[in-house]
Amino acid sequence: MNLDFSWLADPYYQYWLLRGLGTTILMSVLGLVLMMVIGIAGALIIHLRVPVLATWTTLFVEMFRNTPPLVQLFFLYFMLSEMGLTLTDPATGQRIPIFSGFTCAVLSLGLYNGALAIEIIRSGLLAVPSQTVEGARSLGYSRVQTFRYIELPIGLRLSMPAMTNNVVSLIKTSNQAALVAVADIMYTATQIMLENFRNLEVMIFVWVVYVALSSLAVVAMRYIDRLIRIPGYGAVA
Amino acid sequence: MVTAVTRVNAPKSRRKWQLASLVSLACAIGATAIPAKADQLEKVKERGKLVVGIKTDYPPFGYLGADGQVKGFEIDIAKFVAKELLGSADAIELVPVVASNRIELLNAGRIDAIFATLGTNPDRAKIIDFTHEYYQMEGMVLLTSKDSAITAWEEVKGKKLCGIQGNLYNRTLTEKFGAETVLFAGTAEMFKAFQDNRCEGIAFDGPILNMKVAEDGWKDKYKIAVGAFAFNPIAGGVRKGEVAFLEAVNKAITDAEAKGVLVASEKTFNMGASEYVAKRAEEAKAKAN
Repeated sequence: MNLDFSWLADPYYQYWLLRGLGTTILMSVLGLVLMMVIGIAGALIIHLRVPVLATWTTLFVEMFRNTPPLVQLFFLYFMLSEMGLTLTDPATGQRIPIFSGFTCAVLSLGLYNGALAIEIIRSGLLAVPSQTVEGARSLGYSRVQTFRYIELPIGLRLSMPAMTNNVVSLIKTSNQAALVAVADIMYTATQIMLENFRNLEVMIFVWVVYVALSSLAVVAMRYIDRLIRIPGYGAVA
Repeated sequence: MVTAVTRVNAPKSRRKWQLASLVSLACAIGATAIPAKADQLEKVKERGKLVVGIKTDYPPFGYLGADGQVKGFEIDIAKFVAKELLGSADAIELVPVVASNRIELLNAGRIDAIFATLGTNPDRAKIIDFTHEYYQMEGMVLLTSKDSAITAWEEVKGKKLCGIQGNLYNRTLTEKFGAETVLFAGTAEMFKAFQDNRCEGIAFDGPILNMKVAEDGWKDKYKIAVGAFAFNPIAGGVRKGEVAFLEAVNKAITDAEAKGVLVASEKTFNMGASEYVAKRAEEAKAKAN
């Protein structure tokens, strides 16, 4: 088996790959931010049993956790405009879909992994010892203050290992954006494969890129985990 | 006591398993690297079935009819080849392929031949063998809305154009004409994205767009704004080095041409009688006599 990586020297391909890598990273970072916002807000609502909203959040979790992320992406990309969610393009005066392919990809990542994040953070909150919570309550902390100063800080720390999984899963899921023509690393790799037929080499390259990105995320999460650890809480890594 | 013994032995046996799996993995990779030397023609005859990669979303070449049957110009060719090779037009398995996976499927041995609007070009000829060319395909044309101002390929610079991954002309479109391509895997997604105004036009093979623009719901809204910038012959594809198989398939295609199968097929699928197919039929007939 002789592997030929000479295509990596083509400046046109280098430009494609770098741009693709940039898109993948940007998409993942924005997806992660959205995921954390949804995760914390959702966990807060369910944990504090906010009337009406808690029911809606549970519905949200069930809906987005129990459907494939690709279906969600296709729904956002192809179906929303069907349902009339369009805006007028100031340049051409045409009705165009409200979300671009990139926005749809970020939204689907944030919503799908956000739904999982709600449950992960909630499990962390439930693992906070009841004595600690009761201690805070007896010292005069209100329900919201207890959440803000006691349950959330400890709960987030306890949910770090599961959250690391979720972060890695988000980065890997981002490659489905290629299916709605977002020029991420997978999309550009497909283009290159179709031109030079070096399928094995290009796939190895893509593989290495995702391993590197995911490993980087894992290392970063471990670092954060160590930085914020409270002695006596959580497993020793 | 027993548990202690197994615990001591466990790492060693695990290592052995890892080694074994590594070796088998290496063998598997090695095996795929060495092309099978068994004669393809013999294999097909032994199997009694020809496995062909065809399009199912590409009228008039290969598409799913209203009756649920796959039909089209290239399906007719494939069936004729099966009949010549194996004696029956039904001794065939049709495998739906798309532009981006057909060559991979062929070289991985999942299909025996490609009859899926495969344009000939030198890059592809390096990794597969082409059969006789059987159709002259109108290259990329541009479909836009009726009120679009685009009249030439030079005017698509910076514009978003929908297309299909793996098309021969995508690179020309970006490199030469400076268009921004929005590429999908299948035609359904491409048409939907265009109708949603995600791109200003569709740049894709002539035959399929010419047919689309004549459809109800499309004909009063859209037009073919710019004609083809190239013509490209299409041919079947087989794995490299299968001389006997290639020869048999080529003979079947020539026979199909001589017997007027392709001319009839053009008529059945409303493709218009092309000079190219008629000429090839004449030549094939002359050769047969």
